[in-house]
This record gives sequence, structure tokens and C-alpha cells, in this order.
Amino acid sequence: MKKFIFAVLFIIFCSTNSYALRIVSLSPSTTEILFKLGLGGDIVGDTLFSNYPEKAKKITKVGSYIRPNLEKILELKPDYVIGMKEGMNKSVQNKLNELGIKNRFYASRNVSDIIYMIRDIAGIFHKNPNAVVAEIEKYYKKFPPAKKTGIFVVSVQPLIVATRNTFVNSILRCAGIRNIVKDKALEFIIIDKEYIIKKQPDYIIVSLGVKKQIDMARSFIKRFHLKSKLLIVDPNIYNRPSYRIVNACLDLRKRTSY
Amino acid sequence: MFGFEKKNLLLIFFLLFLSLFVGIFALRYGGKTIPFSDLFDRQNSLLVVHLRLPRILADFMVGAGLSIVGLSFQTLVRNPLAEPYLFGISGAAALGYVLGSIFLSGIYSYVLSFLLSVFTVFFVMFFALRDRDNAPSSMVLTGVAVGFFYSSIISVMSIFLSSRFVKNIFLWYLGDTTGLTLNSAVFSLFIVAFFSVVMFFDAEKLNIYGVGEEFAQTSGVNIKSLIYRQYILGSLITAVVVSKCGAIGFVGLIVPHIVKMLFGKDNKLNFVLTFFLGGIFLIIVDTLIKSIVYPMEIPIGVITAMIGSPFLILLMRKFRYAER
Repeated sequence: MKKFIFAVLFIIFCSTNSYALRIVSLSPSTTEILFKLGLGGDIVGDTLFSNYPEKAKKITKVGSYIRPNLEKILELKPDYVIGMKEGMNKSVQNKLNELGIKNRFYASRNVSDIIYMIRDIAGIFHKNPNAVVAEIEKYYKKFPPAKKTGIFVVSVQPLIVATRNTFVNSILRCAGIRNIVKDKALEFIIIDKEYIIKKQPDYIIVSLGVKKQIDMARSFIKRFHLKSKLLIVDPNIYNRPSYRIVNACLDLRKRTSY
Repeated sequence: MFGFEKKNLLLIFFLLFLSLFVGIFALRYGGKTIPFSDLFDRQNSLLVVHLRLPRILADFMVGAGLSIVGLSFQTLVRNPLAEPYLFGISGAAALGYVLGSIFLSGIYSYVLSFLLSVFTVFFVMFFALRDRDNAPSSMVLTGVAVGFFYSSIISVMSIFLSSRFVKNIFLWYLGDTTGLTLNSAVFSLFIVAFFSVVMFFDAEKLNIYGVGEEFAQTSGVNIKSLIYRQYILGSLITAVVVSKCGAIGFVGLIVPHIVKMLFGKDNKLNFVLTFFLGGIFLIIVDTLIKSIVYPMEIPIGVITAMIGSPFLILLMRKFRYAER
């Protein structure tokens, strides 16, 4: 009997231990997703701008997300390193492979990329992604007819806007807004201010945390007597390829006449 | 040996040992400081052998290679502002890297950037030296023009490409010695060292060339082939460095001047000194900075200029240095 109890305890110990993973998350969006999937406790390292959820701020930082510090990552002895295809991801990936650390880097062009990423991360760590994915699909599978027009600005000077080839475009469509920037080959492009004056979109959505730039957008609308309404949104929610695009959609619906 | 005075020979051996010492010493520093006794311990092997060692080797390769090329080019075109990127190689390598990362993947972007650099070298030489025996100024101008042409293509591409690529190009230009695997670090250091030795064999001829072209001609130096050789070898070294670590600036400009200030103008001695001092300089700077800002990373290219510029100005004041 004693032996049996020991055996049972041993098996429980082993199984719990084998799931105590050590994950390093290199970008804010993967951090969010890991937390959402219930893996927040397993993250042993993340990067500077990982600020959501609140707990992510307290995790050990391994540098900035475009240039993480490999030595710090190695020190944390991770089982998995997860990040986005951005910045120096290729050379980081090569080095991680050389060090024998498993890693995965994701693209984030559109909503199906985001869903793929969530499913894949869930698959690696044996979690169920269905609830999270279902929530996204509820809003992003079929879009309402677009009644209004809009433009999504990520920088005012120079004027950089999101094209239709981005997940941001899906956020707009989810709120029934048609993006006036039609380009489909590129993601974020610099455009001429005259285009906004000519098209007069119903909404100019500025996703920025810099006051000076927001003021510039305001004075631009005033000077050219645009009818467009200025919406200032939180870049931490709108610009991040994670499940919180749902929050972005709901926020945008609330603030427009959807 | 090699016609060096005993005093200089000792100096060279001292620098050789200093490089080895600095290299091994630098292995200790980074995130956590490892005592010498544990340096080759098994539990540290991944950290020391696969992270710190390749980085230190790459630092040495970049510093040594670019410095020796800078010295050669400064003598060759008789201009103190000459540097390894003078002939448009950095632009060529950058374009190769960008094209490689769009159309190909992984290792091929390095290969493509190397090939494009080599192509540019021959292109510039073909156009600048046509029908002429020696034309440093037309070589420089052709190189600068080609360089601007490449960077304009990159600028146009960065406007039309995704922000991800723009970030990549920007980071590439700042230089990075952290991305090399151990194998590629050893291999490229070997290549750079080999070409440097071959360049060194021309040092005496460069001394004569430095006095004046007519003097060199009457002394029996084949100027055209000297220029060709130094230019091609120097550009190959630069191409290796740039395709592996990006356009790390300023080392190739200042280290030769510092050496010339401190040790006089004998190219033969200076070739060896710049090689080792350039390498040591970059290892020290990189190790210092990565330990201070840990766990952040600051691109090495930024730091070389930040530390090198004031150092050069100070030295210049002290030695009242004026080249030609």
C-alpha cells in the first residue's frame, strides 16, 4: 500500500512538474495571448513594452522586442521562446536554434494570422484555444455593411496610415467603417495629406500616445475645415495583433454611430 | 622576422598576447560575471562557447578587418577621410541583404549581400580605372556615386515595403555582432585574417607609394597592380564583415589614425598594429557596453562612434596631428 501511495505521489509530482514550463515572450502581443490562455504564470521573461495585463509588467525583461538580449534569455533557461516576425527575428532565431532553445515566431498581417497564432501557441502548451478563437470569430467572421468611411493613422508627421492589408483594417470593418486607403500590397504606408482633404472620411482614427502628434491632427482638421470626426484610440489595444482586437472593435462601435 | 626591428617585434608579440588575453578576459563579462575557474565549466558551455565566444570573435573580426582596410585605403587614395565603405560597399551589401531577405531566406541574404559587394568592387574599378593607370579620385567619386545610388534604391524600397523590413534595414545599418553562429564567426575571422596577411605583404610598397607616385615608379613598384590588389583584398574583407555584421561605422576611420598618431607612419608596422588594436578596441567597447546596459542591447555601431569620436579629437589635440 505504501509503495502504491508513493507511486501515485510520484506520478502526480512528475505530471505537474512536466507542465511547469518556462516561456520567454518577446513581444507584447504574445504575452497577452499567453496570459489569456492561462499560461501567464509560466512566462519567465518578456520585453520592455509588455504592459498588459498588469502582471506582465513585473516579469523579468529580456530587452526590447526588436533586439532582445540573448544572454538574458539563456540565463532564464526557457523551454520555449515566442515572438513576432519583426525586428531582428531572423538572427535571433538562428542563435536560438544554435543554443538548442525551441522557438516560434509569428506573422501578424491579418486576423487569420492572429487566430493561427493563438491556435498554434495553445497547441504547443496543450491549452484549449476554442473559447478565445470563438470570441474573435464572433466579431471578425462576417462584417456588417460599411456605412461610414475612415482612415487609421499611426503617425501624423509623417502621415503613416494602415492599408486594407492589415488586421487594423478588419477592426474598422468590424465597426462598419470602410478604410479609404485602398492599397492592398503594403501594410502601413506614407500618404499625402491632400488625400484626406479630398476624401473627407467620416472618421480620422488616430492611434497614438504622443500628445504633440495628436494636437497636430487636431489643428489639421481645424485648418482645412474637415467634416471628419477625430477619434483618439489606445495604440496598446488597436495596434497589437492579439485577441484584444475584439475590445478594439467594441470600443470603436461604441464611439461611432454603429 | 619580416624585417622588423627587435623592439617592434616585441611590440607585435605583446599585442598578439594582449588580444588573446582581452578575448579570454572578455568571456567573463556579460549578464553574469563568471570566474576564470568556471569559464570552461560544462554548465556554462552554452553561454560561453555559443553566445559570448562567437560575439567576441565577431567583434575582433570587425575591428581588425575594418581598421586594416581603412589604413590601406587612406594611404591608397591619399585622403585622411578614406574608410572601408568608401567605394560604395556598405550600400551594396545593404541592398543585397534587403533583397535576400525579401526573395530568399536565411543564409542566402548574407551570400547575396557578399556577392553584390564583390560585384560593386569590380564595377567601380572597371569604370574608374578604364584607360588610366592610376586614378584614386575617380575611383572615390565613382564609389560615392554608386553608394548613393544603392542607398536611394533602399530608401525607395523602404517606403514601399512593410514596416518590418524598414526596421530590419535600420537595425542592419547600425551593425550587430550578436547574430553569428560559432562556425560562421570562426570561419569569417579566418578569412579576414588571411586576406589581411596578404595585404600586409604589400606594406613596403605602400610605403614607397606614400612618398609619391613618380618615386614609386622609379623604384620599380607596379602602381596599377598594387592598387588593384589592395583595393580588391580590402573590399573582400569589408564585404565579409558587412555581410555578416552590418555597416559598423567609424572603426575603419579612427583606428588607423590613432595608430599613426601613436606609432608613426611606417605602414609595415602599422598594418600589424591596426589589425590587433582595432580588434582589441571593438572587443573592449562591446563587452563594456553590453555589461553596463544589460539586459538591453545597444547596437555596436552607435557605440563605436560615440566613444571613438571624442577619443580621436583628444588625441589630435595632444599630438598636433596633421596628415600630409
